Amino acid sequence: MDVGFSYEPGREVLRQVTLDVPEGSSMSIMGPNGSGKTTLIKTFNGLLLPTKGKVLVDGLATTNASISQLAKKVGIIFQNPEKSFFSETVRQEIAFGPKNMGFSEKEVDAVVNDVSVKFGLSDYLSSNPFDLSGGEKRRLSIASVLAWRPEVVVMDEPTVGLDHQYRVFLIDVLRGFKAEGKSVVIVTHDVDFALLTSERTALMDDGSMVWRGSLTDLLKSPELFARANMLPTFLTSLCTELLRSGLSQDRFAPVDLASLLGGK
Amino acid sequence: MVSLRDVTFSYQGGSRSVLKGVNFELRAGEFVLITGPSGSGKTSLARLITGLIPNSYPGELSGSAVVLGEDVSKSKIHTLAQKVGFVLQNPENQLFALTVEDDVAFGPENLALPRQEIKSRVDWSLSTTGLEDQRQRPPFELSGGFQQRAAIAGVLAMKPRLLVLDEPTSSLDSLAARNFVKFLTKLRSELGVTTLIIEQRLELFYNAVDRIVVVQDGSIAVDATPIAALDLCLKNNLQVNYPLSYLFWKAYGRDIGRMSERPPSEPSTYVDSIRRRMGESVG
Amino acid sequence: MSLAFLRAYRFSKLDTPVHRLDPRTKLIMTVAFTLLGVTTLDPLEILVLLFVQLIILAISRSLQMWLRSLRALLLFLVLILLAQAIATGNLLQSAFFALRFVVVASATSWFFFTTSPEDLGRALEQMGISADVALSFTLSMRFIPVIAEEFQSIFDAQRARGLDVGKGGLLDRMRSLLPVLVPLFVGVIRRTYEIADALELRGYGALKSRTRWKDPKFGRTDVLALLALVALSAGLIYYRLVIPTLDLSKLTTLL
Repeated sequence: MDVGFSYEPGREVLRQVTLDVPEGSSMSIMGPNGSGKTTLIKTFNGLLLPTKGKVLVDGLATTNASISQLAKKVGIIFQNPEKSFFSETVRQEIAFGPKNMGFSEKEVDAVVNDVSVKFGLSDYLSSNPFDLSGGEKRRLSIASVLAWRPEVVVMDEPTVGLDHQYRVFLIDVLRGFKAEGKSVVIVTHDVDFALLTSERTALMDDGSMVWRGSLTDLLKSPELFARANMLPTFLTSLCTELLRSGLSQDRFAPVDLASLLGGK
Repeated sequence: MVSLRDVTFSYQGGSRSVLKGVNFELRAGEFVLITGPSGSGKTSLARLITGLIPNSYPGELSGSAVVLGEDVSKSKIHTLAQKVGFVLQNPENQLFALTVEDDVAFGPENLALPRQEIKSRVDWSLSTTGLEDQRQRPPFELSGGFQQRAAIAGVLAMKPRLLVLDEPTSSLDSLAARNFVKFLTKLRSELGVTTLIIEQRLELFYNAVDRIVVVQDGSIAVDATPIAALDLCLKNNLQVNYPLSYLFWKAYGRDIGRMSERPPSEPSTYVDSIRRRMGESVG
Repeated sequence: MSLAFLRAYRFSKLDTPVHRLDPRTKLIMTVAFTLLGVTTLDPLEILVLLFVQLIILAISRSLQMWLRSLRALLLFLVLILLAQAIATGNLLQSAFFALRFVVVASATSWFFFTTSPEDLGRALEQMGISADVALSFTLSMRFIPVIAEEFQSIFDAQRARGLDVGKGGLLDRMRSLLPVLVPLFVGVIRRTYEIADALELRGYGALKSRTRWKDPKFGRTDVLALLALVALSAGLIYYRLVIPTLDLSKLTTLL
């Protein structure tokens, strides 16, 4: 199945944005706060419809489909997902999405069990979501979206308010998605995180997409950061220098931090 | 300024202690950073120092907690607040008024200061935080970084001797976060106010602070100067957001003979060593 | 429609004589207009009151906002008009009935357009209402847009999980909103605790009374406005008592 979309929405908040997310790719959308990144991803599942141009998910225009139909293919995990918990048990919370998507009772049970094992929540199925620890809550929010097995996973600023442990877990999870062939889109202002988890990137500033391409290309031209009102980091500067010194390209993006640190 | 001896605390209805036998000293003028995994007790520690524990968050508190001469368990929050300024993680909930200047005036108004004094404090606070141009604007219209400053301005107007900030950069993007660090360092050098900051983004602060304290599971695992603290963390395999410049210095510093200084901020320093280790030919 | 209605009462910061009036003056004016409007059905009085309000709206540059708010109330107006017309059989009289509604609604409308909740809170405090009450009022106003935004983001998040609110009767629809309302409610409660803490952290409650660094003060314009109000009220009351009401039923028999 071909999962890819392209569009050119144009509105006050977004101006003539063009983007392609091919099947199985991992992409980051970067830019400072207020650049329109969240608005952009809301067009992916029909929460927002473009005023000009179109958004196609798997060939289907978002204007011709309901949000539930689109959400089935494109799962979005917004910022501070704990703010949306409402169920009495973790099981119910995870089951919410699949139930809405029309899964049968048996199917719901199956996916709930499956995804709770995957995200280490099987011991907590009867617990109240509000009683979970910070990290567990985040895992629950990811599990709740992955439960209906969308082909595209979109995460909005997943690194905000994170501690190191969760960050490591998240990188692992994203690698898992890639291995499963899912398309991943990560919206973030954390350049290092994007470097570690995506191959392609799109830079946004003030509603416009100022650049898109591979992360390796971005590293080669660090002046692009300024265009999106961002700053290069220690890691990006290091990678830029490494690339300039002639290190082969295929060792880049997503950057393997462990190997850079000499296996530590 | 702050002296915590063997402090243990558990929230009412909580099953475990969030603080276990904590010993912590803070001296006047210091800039200390507290870090640790989520749920480790960092925020509880900050709440204790500002009196929110045990006044707003009741529970079982034992040990001695003295802040600026006041016994925390016996003081009221608003009394302690006149000496200790606490900037919460979410500035939105700390900005009450419809203009920045009115919000900054809120604290002094509560202290029933004379009108002239309030006005001069508002002016001073706004200029110190660089918000004079924003004074008539509604606080919630400001960008994240400026909202943070507005919250700080409001707290500074109370002229506290100790400033506690809870993860001030968590909602800021990288540019705003870096500007914030510059702003805070400048503020400290001008005012000399003792500062305690809870943070995860170590790479931004580790060169600016006097000490790093790592809280784990309710007790203090590490309390030392930045590099020494990070060394200890590494040695004990603690889960901390190690600054990348530090990690690379640890991995390659010896190769390039730079172990005696602070970690270099120039990534290019490591290029040759990295390539060598990766088995690539060097320039 | 629901949120547009809220916008009908939003303060906008402009510098006009009306904005600069002491909130107490405006409060008195609003109450006066409301009382005068509610107690009459005389078309001339209604027109006069409407005309005066229009002047106030014009001076305060709020005419456009007012018109927009009327659009939100349009449904009500039409309903009132129709109901009255059916009840009395007199279309013209019903029109004035509807117009009276506009007069009364506008009286509060321009007040909120031109008075910041801050100033109102200060005025209330000055009039002797406790700081707690005044603060509760201004805090509520300050956080309404925040809560509205939170509603929207939770709504988005749940729809992204397939929530469908369009189906079924009213009761079904309300039940389907639970995944939005429950977290919203929890969030609001949590927020109130944090705000309460934040208030204390700024010394609120430390002392029995607090200073207000800015107090609304009566100025020349206030005196003029109040004098004009007295003159207007006196004129209308005189007219009411002395001159007989224009009988509209007679008018329509003529037409």
